[in-house]
Amino acid sequence: MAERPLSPHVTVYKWAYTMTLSILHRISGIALFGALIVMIVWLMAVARGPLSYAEAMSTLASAPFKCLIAIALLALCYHFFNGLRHLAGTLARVRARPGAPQRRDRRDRDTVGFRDLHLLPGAVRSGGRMSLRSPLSRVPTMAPLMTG
Amino acid sequence: MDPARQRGGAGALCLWLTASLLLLPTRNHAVVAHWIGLGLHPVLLVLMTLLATWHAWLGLQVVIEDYVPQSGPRIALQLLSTFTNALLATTGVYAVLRIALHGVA
Repeated sequence: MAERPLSPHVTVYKWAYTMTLSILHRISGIALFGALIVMIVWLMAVARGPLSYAEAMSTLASAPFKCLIAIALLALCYHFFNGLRHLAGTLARVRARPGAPQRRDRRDRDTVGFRDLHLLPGAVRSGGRMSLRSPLSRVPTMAPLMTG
Repeated sequence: MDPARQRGGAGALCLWLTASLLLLPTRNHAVVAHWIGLGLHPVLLVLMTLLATWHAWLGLQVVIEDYVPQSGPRIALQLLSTFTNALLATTGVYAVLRIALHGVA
């Protein structure tokens, strides 16, 4: 398993629009994995010569595949721009827009993960919003992690 | 984990390939094969294949970890993802080289 906090139980939290963005990012990413497979099969068809290329192109020109390609292009646009958003957040640490859950420091995320929430009664139930900082600072053993 | 380096490269190169293919005047075999073999295109295409499969591997790894709690299916899916992405990467590189070196060897 990776050394990182895992996806929390989604139903515990109050909905925030960032959740929709996140899940769409994953769905579009998986769709693009399908598109990657199609692209590599297509490249292989080009490599094998005009005959197999014509076959591949006639398959790709069929109505269901045209729909899939349209979906893949939409997914590419979404995934690309949401990726830029992620990159901007990572590089510049831009402040969250109103309505987005409170940003936490990267260090907080590394030291105290979502899985540690069960140690903190009140952290989850206090209005549903993620509020790691205040409950944690009341726990003596974890306070040095947060301040130091 | 998740080094940000491959993300920018994968994104930029995917966009370049998509735009280039859409901008080709016609897409018959001769035109497409010529475009793939042109100048630095095969190099960029090999790089794109590697970055895209690496990116997909990292992304699928995260999704599998998050949504498959039982260790048996999780490890099986991760192995499947690793194998599929490795296969895709090698196939893509092989195809691009075969197109680019067509008539050379």
